[in-house]
Amino acid sequence: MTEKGTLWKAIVPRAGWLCATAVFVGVAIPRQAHAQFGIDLAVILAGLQKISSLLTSSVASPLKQIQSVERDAQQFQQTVLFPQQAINSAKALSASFIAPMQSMQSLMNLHFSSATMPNPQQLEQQMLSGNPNSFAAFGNSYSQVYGTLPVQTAAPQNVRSTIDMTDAQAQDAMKKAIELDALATRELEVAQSLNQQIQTAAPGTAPILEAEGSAWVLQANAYSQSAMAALLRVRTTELSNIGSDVKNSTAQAQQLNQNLKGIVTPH
Amino acid sequence: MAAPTISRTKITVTAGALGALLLIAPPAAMALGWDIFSVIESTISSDIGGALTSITGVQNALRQDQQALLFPVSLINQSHTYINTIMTSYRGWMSGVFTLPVNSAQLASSQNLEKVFLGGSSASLGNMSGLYNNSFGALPVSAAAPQAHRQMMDMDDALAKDALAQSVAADQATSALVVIANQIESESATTAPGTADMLSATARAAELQSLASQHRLLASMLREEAATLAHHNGIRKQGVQQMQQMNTNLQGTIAQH
Repeated sequence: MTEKGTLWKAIVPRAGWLCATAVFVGVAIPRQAHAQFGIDLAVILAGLQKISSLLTSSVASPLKQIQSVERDAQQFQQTVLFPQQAINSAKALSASFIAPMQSMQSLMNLHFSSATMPNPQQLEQQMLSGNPNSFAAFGNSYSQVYGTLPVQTAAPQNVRSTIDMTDAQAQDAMKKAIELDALATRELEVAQSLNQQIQTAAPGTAPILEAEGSAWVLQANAYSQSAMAALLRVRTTELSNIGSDVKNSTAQAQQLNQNLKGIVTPH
Repeated sequence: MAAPTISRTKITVTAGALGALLLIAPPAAMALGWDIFSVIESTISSDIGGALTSITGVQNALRQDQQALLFPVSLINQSHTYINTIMTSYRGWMSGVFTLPVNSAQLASSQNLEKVFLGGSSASLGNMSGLYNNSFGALPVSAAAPQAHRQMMDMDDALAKDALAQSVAADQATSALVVIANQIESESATTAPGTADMLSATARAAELQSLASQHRLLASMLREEAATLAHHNGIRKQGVQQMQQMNTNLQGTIAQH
């Protein structure tokens, strides 16, 4: 018993120390599966597999669909909406119009000179000049061809008024014609310029040029309207002249009647 | 003295048991690990996956709208066919009507002038003045008419000739514009929806050019109308002048008797 007890006493502490050391080593040495969080490797693998599966089903699959839709849209855009061939063709068409448009511009800018006498030549030159700065001298040239307003003693007031108004309308219209020629010259320049710009435009920027062209077309329509108004005034003045002539004839006939009555009536 | 020996043994055994328990018991961190995975899975499947599914849906809808609603190929082809039909149905007829001969003069001199008018070529304008005089007469010589009358006649003739020449140039420009319009129409029959705006812009430029030509013609019409008015007014002024001269003459005659 003594020997056995001594042996037991010697073994138990050592075994305890051995166990404690083993426990310490077991706790202190980092284990592969637990890593720093202390999670089981199997659990991590299962989690990663699930994430991978989710990435495949929830992310990769929709991304593939998006890619497919994008590719389809791109193809539609390149082959149906904006095919390069159609873009080039539209540009080539625009380029082919340069020569005929320049030719038209030259045609419409032709200067004519048909008058043979000096005064009509001067007036014709001013009328066809397309130079709005020539208005100051216009009245003088006009009077040299069509005469001046009779002096006060030469004609009744109503006749002088009619003559003055008619001259004014005629001159206004001639000046308006000079304005229109000047405007037309600029419009022809802008038309050429727009056509050239289209050759370097993209399908996406063409509507901008179209808008600019539309603005100019609208402006041009406004000028046409103004010209028609001037034309209307000239024709109205012609009508007024006819009416004025009839009124003057009536007044003169009335005066003649009065005079005749005066002669016939016995004194 | 025995108590410390027993105590050390107990302590050792207890420490070993605790260590073993530590090794066997599941760590608290494992529950945390499951939570992180759940959050990641939820983010992937709900947030990212849901958003991507939504984007896919929107893109599909956009594509559907673009290809089926906005630019269906069938309707694009239908438009091209329509333009081709319009071209086939109208272009020849329109051109035929537009180029119908309208000449009506009977005398040789008139026919020659008419040929220049309707020729639509500015190259023939050089002959116009002589042909015009053949039909409408030349300006009287200075001894044949008063200066005022001669000036107005000269001005009338000049403006008439200018306007006629302008009309010939305008006819030539019109022919060129019709060619341009036809070319744009032909291109429209094959163009894509995205490039149609380029053709519209080109047409706008040509339209502006056409309006500029119309302005030239309107200016010419204005000059003619104004000259007609001025001519009538000039005659009225001469009438006043003649009346004044007649009064002066009468007064002189009466004064002599």
